[in-house]
Amino acid sequence: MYRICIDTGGTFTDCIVLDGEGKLYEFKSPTTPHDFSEGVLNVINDAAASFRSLPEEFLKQTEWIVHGTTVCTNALVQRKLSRAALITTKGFRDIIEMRRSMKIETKSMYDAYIPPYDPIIPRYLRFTVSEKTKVSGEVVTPVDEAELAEVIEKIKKEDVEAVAICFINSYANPANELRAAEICGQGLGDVFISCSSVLLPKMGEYERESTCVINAGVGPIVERYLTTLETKLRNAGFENQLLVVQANQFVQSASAVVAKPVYLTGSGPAAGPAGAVHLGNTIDEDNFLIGDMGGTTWDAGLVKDKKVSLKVGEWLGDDRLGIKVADVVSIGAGGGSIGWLDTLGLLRVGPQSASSNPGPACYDLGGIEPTVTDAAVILGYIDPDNFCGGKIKLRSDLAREAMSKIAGGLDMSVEEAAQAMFDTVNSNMADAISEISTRKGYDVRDFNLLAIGGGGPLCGAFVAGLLGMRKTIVPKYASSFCAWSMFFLDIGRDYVRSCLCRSDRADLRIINGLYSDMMQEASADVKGFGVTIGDLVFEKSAEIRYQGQYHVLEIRLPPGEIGPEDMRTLEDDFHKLHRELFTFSLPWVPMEMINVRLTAKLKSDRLPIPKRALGTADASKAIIRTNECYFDNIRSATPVYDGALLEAGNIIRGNAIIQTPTATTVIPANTVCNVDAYGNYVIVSEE
Amino acid sequence: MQRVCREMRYTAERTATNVLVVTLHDMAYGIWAADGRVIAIPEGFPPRLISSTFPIRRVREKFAGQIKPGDVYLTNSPRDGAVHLPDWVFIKPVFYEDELVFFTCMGTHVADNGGAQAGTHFLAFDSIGEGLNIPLIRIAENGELRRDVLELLLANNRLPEMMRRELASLTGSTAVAERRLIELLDKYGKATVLAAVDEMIERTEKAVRAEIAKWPDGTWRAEVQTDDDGLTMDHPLTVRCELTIDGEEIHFDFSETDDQVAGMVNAYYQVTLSCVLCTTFLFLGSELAPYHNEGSMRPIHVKTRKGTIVDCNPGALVAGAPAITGGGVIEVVLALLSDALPEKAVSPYARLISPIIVGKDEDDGGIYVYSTFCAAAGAGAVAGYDGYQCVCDMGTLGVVGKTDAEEEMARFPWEIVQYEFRTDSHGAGRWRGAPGVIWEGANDSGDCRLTLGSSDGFSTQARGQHGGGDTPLNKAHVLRGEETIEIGHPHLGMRLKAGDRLLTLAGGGAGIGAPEKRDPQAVAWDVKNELVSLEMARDVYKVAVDPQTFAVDQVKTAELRKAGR
Repeated sequence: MYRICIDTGGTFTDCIVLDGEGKLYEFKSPTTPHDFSEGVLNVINDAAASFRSLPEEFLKQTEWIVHGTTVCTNALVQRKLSRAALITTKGFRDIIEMRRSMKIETKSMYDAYIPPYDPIIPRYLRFTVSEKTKVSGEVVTPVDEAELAEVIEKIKKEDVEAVAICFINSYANPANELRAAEICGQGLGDVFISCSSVLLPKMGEYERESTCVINAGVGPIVERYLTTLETKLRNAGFENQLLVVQANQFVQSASAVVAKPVYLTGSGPAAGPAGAVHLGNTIDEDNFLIGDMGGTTWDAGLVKDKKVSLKVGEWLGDDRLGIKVADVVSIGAGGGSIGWLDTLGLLRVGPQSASSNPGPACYDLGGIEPTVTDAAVILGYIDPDNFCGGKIKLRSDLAREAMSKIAGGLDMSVEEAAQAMFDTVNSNMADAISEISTRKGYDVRDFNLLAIGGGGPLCGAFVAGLLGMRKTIVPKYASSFCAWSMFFLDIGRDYVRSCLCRSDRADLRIINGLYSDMMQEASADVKGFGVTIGDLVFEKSAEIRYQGQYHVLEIRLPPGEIGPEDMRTLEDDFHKLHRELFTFSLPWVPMEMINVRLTAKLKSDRLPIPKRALGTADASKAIIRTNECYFDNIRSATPVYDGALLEAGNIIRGNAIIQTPTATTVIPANTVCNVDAYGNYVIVSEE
Repeated sequence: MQRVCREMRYTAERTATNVLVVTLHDMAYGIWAADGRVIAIPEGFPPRLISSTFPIRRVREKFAGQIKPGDVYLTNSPRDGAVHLPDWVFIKPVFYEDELVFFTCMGTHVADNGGAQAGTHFLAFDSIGEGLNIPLIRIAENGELRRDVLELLLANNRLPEMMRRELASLTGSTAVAERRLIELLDKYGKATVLAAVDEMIERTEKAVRAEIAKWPDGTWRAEVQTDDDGLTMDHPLTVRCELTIDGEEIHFDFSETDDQVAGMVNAYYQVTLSCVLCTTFLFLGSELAPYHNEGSMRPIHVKTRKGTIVDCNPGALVAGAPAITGGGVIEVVLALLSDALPEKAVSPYARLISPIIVGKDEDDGGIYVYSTFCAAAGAGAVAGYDGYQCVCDMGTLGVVGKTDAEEEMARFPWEIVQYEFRTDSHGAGRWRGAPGVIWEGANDSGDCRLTLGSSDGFSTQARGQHGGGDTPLNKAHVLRGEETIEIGHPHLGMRLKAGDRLLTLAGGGAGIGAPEKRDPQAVAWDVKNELVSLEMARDVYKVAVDPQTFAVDQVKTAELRKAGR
């Protein structure tokens, strides 16, 4: 039987197949943005062909497919969302447009020239109905059904695909919202309905409503995509479980994802940190900063003490997402990023990308703008005759022609312009890495750089150099690392409920009741997997704060029934964490519980990482030729090693290049690359 | 070097995040060199940002030779460089290898500061009645708060428990900044860091001078009025300023501003300076936005006349200094620079409505102080864009966040009944201001006291630029049963009964350019979204919009616009 992980990125669709003997195989096919499922099927066909079987046979023998997709992120980033309407409490029509304050946290107060916010749902599609729920959860006024009927009539005329419903205080009691959803379901047929209290039942109408609106905007798109994909896979012979990667480090069945599609935001890159944890367990490294360079974006993630860094709430451009997701910072920097001159005549790289179509100029598919890949060809790092194992012939003359466009403007030679582009993109990527680490208050030098994605091995050691990081690790499946990481994700979800009370006066019956409610929801969610509540592993936590504070800290609770002792431990842990983070605690101040959280997961089997044949320090027999390359504008003869011929224990001094069919690793001067026992390249700075 | 600077900025940002953990109140923080130069002008409440330089310099004078590691200093007195009495400023010297290298500073608006009334006191007889005056003192020694001093402060406060927490968290946050700075010094070495600081200040000065050099030379004049002087209602005061751009330097001269008054709208020089600088930074462009420091301040000169409302003498009442007078200074600088640089024009935000409600806390028998910015409306237009939708006033340049209504309802015995944009509530223009905001809360508990002390714009307006509409007037009512009581003079304050509802109607931001120059499609879109009525479209924007399809009637619009000329 086979197991397959497929990651649809901005440029390539990566696939890793595990066969019955525990061997891994890597495949790549261009991403097909007009219909992402096409690229998925293409890469499956490639895989099937390499096993000399027909796609139907191959898929029939496939136990499961895990899939990470960019479809939701793409829709959001490009604002190509489904047309949606909002129904909210009378008097509160503009919550999603007012947001938090004058300027969201991502804008400087000294920057006045910013366009007004363009909300996902414009005001004329935001409708209100009379209803009232108090803070206590008491329903004072049920939904005015006559008003709602009128609203439904108006919505019918607007040709919307989705409706978001968010009422004030619905976190305390969802009854009014659920009733409205029920009526809308009856009145609006197959319109996608997104209900805030189902999605994110916690206090704070702005974040809850915004998340609910984003969910509505992506709902029909995700539903269409997953339905198409599943149908195509079924028609092609696949009979088993399709699992989809969510941004919160869990995988879920396609049908569960369709109900809460917003969890798909950032789906692909979210898998990387989980893979890093597993890799770290194997090679005994605790801390990674992860740089994933694809064709279009550079996604920076963080693993500290073998734990994936998660965040609750983030700005996606100008919109706020309130769910808990893997902390990944994305910027527009990749192999396809285009170099251009701004109005001041300064060189800029990205965020525009030539992506896979037309692709870099050297692909000869009609691209005429210089890209990072073109720069790497001109600098001699990428061998035009051996790209993708020789499957794709690159044209360096076209790369040079495209580069000459900016070289002229910069008054530089073509090689100098390529070097300038390469340096610029590396420094952009270094900034993204330092953003994610300093935001958490960490020193980048305490971390290893895990350089992954098609371009990570190419640039990683340079980025590490800029940041003063000593070690860059290029893992064995660097270019498909996110797909590889999907083997290590668990099936599961996280749940949250508001629970406003002083911790010393907490009614444990209520708290345990909320947990059992969430556990029941969890067991319903995994029903499709043929398991029972007993197969689930639960983790409990509570978000609490000192009375009077506005922000909370999340503290772990034991998995069983919560008793009075556990509450005292919770309080002690809170004081301790508060002191660690902020240098002080307030032991005399009562604490308030705000939310209780639960994660429920099914453990997946851990795939062991096979070792590579042991060799000596001498790697010379892997040298296949010498290329003329440029390092810091200096031309130098550089040995090129064939990655397939390298053995554990080999040592390679920079400058050097390691070539494999899926990636080119560049080892700069003053660094040494050690091939470790598992075939990972560990590049260490000699300074 | 660049990276050190960037990391320093991140350090400042991260420190701020920590403070946000403990308080939503407006605040200021930053990092100063041992000699008092500003290294990182952070984001925060404009009147307070650069003004913190003054108390830091006072520490150097007053405690010369006695500054020790583990010290924390505190003042709220404008005489020692603070803004107004509710703003407590904490200053911590940072030592490295036994040498004073930096100061970090953290300030915030506290919920109570003693005085004749809870919250901020706007109707005091003199500066003693305005609240507890804390001259610059040493509040902590060897890293421990001084208990005796603490007792004295708390004995004069209505919310001693809350203040005890705030004090711990505010001194804690300066300790976080200290820890980060020491890590930075450990990592790069003192010499490198200090060299980076000098380099950073010099580069910023150069960049700011280069930008000002592009501006046209000349002299401009403008003035701004407040509703009243805080004591005599309907007696507006005027802030007057003359701007001279001369090569790579600019001069603001406030000498002609009205004399200081017996009411609470006086401001000390440091408030005026701070507001002028922050507002000028807006015009220096987005690229420089994150880099301002001492260097940015050197080419900008601010002249005042002692004894005016923008440079008052000791003893003057100052409760309204930041919001009202500071807001006026910001408005006048916007007007001057918008006149000088039409392509960069920035119109004023809506003037502030900010209720402060003080009542009995039925849970613990103490009091609650409910101070909210939710009632305030949005930004003015900028050249090229309509005003940014928001809930914030001029004096804050948009940095104070609103709270969720749900959070406020969970925290205070008030139910929020409505909270949304108003139709026809902005300053019109080719680029219009952000819409005004309606806010209504119902008192769910016993009697309480309402003041709108820092509010303004009930009888005077902030000016739109280049023919754009002014900010519409603010209004507020108390609804008591069938009765509607208009609050004509927000500074007077009033008593609210159980069940009363407070309704505020904030005007939106001001506009830029003549309304009849606005793109008719943009007007039609606003009509469709009910931010502009058909009547306003016709009468103000001179655009005819079909009430069914919301399409622009081209023929009628052409007629309207022709007739208007």
